[in-house]
Amino acid sequence: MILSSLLSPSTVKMSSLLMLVCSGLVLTSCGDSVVETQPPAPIDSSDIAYTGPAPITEDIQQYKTSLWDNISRADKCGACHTQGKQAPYFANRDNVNEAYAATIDLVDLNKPQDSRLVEKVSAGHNCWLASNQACEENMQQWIKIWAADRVSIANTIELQAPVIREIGSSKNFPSDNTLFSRHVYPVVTQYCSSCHSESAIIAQSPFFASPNTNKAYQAAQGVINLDDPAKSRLVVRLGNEFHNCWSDCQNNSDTMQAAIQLLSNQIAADVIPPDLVVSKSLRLTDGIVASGGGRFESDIIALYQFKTGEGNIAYDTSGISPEANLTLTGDIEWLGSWGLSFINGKAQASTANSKKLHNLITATGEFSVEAWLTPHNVIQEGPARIISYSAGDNERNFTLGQSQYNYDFMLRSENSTSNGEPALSTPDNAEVLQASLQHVVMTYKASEGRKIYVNGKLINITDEAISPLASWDDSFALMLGREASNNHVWQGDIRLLAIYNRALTPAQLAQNYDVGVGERFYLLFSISELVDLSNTYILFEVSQYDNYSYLFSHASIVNLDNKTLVQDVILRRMRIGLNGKESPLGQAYVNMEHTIASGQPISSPVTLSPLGTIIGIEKGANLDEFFLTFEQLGQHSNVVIPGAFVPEAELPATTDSAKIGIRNFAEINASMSVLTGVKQSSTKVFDTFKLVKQQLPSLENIETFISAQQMGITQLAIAYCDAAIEDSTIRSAWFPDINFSQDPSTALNTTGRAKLLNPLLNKLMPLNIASQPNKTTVYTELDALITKLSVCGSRCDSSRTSTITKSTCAAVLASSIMLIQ
Amino acid sequence: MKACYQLLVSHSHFIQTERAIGLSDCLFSFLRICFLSLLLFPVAALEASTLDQAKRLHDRIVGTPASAKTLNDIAQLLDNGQPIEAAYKAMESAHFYTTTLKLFSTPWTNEDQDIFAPLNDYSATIIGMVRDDIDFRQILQADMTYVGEDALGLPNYNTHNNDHYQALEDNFTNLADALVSRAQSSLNGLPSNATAGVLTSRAAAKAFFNLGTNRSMLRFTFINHMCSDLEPLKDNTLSPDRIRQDVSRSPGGDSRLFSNNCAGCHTGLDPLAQAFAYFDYQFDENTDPTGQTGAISYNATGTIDAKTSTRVKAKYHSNAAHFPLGYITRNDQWQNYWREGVNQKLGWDPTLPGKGTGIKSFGQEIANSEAFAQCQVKKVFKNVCLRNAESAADITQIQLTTDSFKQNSYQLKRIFAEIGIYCMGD
Repeated sequence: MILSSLLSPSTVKMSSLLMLVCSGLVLTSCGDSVVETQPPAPIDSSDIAYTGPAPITEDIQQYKTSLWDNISRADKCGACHTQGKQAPYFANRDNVNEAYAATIDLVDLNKPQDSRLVEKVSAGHNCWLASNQACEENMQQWIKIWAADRVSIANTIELQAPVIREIGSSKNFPSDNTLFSRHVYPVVTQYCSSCHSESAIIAQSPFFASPNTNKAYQAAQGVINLDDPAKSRLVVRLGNEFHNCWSDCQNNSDTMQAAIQLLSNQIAADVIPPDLVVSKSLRLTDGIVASGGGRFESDIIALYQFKTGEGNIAYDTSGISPEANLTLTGDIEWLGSWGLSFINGKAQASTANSKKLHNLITATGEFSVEAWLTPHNVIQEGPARIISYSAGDNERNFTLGQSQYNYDFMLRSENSTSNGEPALSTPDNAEVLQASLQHVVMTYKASEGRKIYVNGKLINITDEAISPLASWDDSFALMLGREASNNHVWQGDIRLLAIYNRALTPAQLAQNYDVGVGERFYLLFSISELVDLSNTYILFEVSQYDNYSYLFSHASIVNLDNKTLVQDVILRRMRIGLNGKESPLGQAYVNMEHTIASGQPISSPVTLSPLGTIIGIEKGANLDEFFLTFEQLGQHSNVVIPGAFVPEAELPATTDSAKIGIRNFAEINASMSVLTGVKQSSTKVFDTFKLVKQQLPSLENIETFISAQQMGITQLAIAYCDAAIEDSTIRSAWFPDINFSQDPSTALNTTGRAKLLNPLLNKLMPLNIASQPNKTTVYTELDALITKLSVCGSRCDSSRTSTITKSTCAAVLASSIMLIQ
Repeated sequence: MKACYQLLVSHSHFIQTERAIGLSDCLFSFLRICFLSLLLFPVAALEASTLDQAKRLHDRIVGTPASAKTLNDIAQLLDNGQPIEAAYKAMESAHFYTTTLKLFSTPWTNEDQDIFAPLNDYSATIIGMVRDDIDFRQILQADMTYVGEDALGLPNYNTHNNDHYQALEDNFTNLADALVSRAQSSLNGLPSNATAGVLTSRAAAKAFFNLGTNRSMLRFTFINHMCSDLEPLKDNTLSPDRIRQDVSRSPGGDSRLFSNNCAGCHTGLDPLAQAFAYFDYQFDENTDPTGQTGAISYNATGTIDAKTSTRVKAKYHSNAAHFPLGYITRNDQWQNYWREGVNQKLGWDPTLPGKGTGIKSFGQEIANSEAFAQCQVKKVFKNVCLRNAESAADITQIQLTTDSFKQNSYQLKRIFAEIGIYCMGD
């Protein structure tokens, strides 16, 4: 079965790097200086100097430089597989031509990964490194370099019938909430109900601490793992994510886990419900490996795929000696999906082995750094050092860094500082850098300067400092995650790093972007019995997406026997199952509906959905067991009927607010206008309102009232009263019996005061309303006020009468008589 | 008494700073009046007279004090057992429209929920539709916008600025009289079937279609008209099959964040927000970075976006590399996933299909939900009673008024009347 549509087009063009660099010394003109560069660092041959006959063909020469020089060393295959020792003698040091003849049956130049040499070291046969995986990668890479253009353009894959597994058992939630109520509910209601309850002030879904036990039970099922209580979200949130612990997080997490464990202990493991229409099940490792092919890797000089998964060394598997392996220090985690997660750590090569970067890059005067990476956040800066070939905070050959949303490309050149500045940075506004998996390539060549590509696209920035490389220091070291000084920490994941001594073309780097990163498997879920056609499968491409989830994608249907369905098959509402139950999350195919017609060719996979989805890892990539369920597949159906929805009763807030409030800014302005008869558009009040508007209350809640607001209210009241009294029409209508041309002693004598205060109060606090101040008391107070203000000595002219009137008016208008509602 | 204390503090401060102008004595009087008032309130709150009820009814609904005549008229109606008529009497005041409704609707028109924002086509349309007793569900569906009448000599309605409404505000125009209804499509050029009341107003576009991904239009429609932010609606058990490519499935390298947080909203949010796929707010980011002179933009039939090769605006395909296997928007066909799962609590109309094409049918879906009707009542309750529901009686009243709202052709004034009566005191 040939699968041609699922893999990206690829062209592995392994040109001979060694042929290029062995062509002799390369002299590069760099302004006034001449930098003499070397071919690739020679194999350390102190113990194995070859003195036999020269290679008799060009391919044998290629074989020698690519593979034989590496494997014939005494610390590798040369220790045994030499003449007179252990056959086959492919590491024969007496005659490379005979070694070639012995090797040719042990390699597959079309598919280097299938070579016998690769299989042996992969299985651990005298691997010279601490990681069999790294030995495998190195051997494979050497053969690929030798094979060059003979490597198959691997855009097809052969599908083979998988192992048939029946679905295992698991624990499921009982319909009755008794056990939950007994063991878990008391804990969550005591500690989580302040938020995870719909009656909380700031209600936070899911409501597993709802006052309604049934509702809480429903919500809790999404955050409890019965099969493994320690992996319950309720537990993990406390223990690992420190989410609102009520005392010590670990103790709280243990308490929660113990409660769930008690719940789990009383639930028997169930087999998959018999009514479900299910496929056969598979583990990830039952799948067909789909990764690896199609990357452009010519001119590669360092390659890190981070496949090891453990230990403190990340291997350079470029096949270009010396291997610049990275030693891990600090807080770094391996990713199950291949990669390193940097929290506060550094992966650094030795300066001696890093020297190959200096030598090979200065030889060509150009280079590329390609990485698949995931910044953990978009706030780190410095720039935070992602990938750096440097010696300290201020000395570098090149660096890929992060400054918040930007990638920074620092490069030592003729016109730069020794710190590689000015940096070339992606534009602030573009926010190119995101905290998601990104393919980042920075390229340099003297004629074009620096470029940054993200996810296959050139970022539109101009290198304003194009100049040749200069003064590169070969004593610097390649490092990831932070600077040599341990400063400028970068937090993020790196899943692949490749360094080339050529500037990749847009097509080449786009090709690598299309290939993606990480190990992918094709899983063939058998539905043969359900559709009555042998070797019929639902095909998924599945990979480990990160440390917490699988990625399912490229769903299709296929028959491996080149047969077609004898009748139409309806496929409705497909779900992904995991460890004996349907995954509660990530069901991206549940709304899918297809009819596969009888006779329709399905010998090549027929796409069912272009979507991908993530499904949480439970027991680990080697243990988790997947299957598919269908509400309808062919003649089989199991329509899921959602449970009746029980609307929750709304609960009142537990606050006890004041029954009175204050007027807000606009209401105050309008009220003063209504009470005084002065228009809001009147210049004096309009200007004052504009001035104090933001100072006035914006909320009507009396609890929010502050003194500054009273200041603003008073200013506005004065403006209104001033405008009213200065307006002869308003004034004479409001206070017809007061002679404002008289001084206060006359105009506001006992009789006059009544003529002022009665109209004032009748307008500002009409009628006798119990919720307003007692009018007599207010009258008395204002009368006393006028008495005080009338003691004015030589300033008691007629204008004082107006001033006193305005003041008296403002005393009422700015008071709670107006403000409180 | 706490408020009185605050008044006291403010007053003391005022005396220090204002002594020079000789007003400290009058402010002492003001303060004493304050005390007199507050000491009386507890008693009044328990046993309000008809006049007290009339005053509070008017104060809370209109925002300004009533004249003696109006108070007497309202009190008389209350005494006659005509409380609804009493409330409608209060609402005869122009300030009900110019002050109360303007303040009521203004925070809905901007992302900051700023109550100080100027009048705009969103708030003016709300005011006009309430005044004319138009079915309030139409605010999210109608081909309708309220403008100032021609005789006012205002700047014309302009899709690129707010000058028309700013002039109404600056002139302190009486909105009870000055607003007239126009076909929105005749003002902003949208096809009539692409209009959706205030959702397609310039103010809403400026606030919620501005840059981004148009999801904020969905979020703020829910905040403003369903009384729920997205957080309480989280339901990650729904299918993620409509979540767009721009949502990282492993933010910062941790897919649990997506599964447990992001997906909770996006499962329902993204298929609903697809209704806005042909909309944008366009402005020159270089010369007008805050978009003050921008205008709503719509890809009508035949208009193809260069990036998406469909009528879908480019913003719907932004950041596609975050998750290339995510959903690709190719049209404006929305679907309401929240009709299943816990968000059935929003009370969707079973007579509607729960899916559709474009913003108008989206507005219909929202406006016909129980949550929409109840939200209007809750907002009025907060506005008039100055608090949220704090007792079973409050909850019951909100439900009763919600039912009444629906039975009375969704007339918002009716809610103000019923809630005003409920909170005017016994």
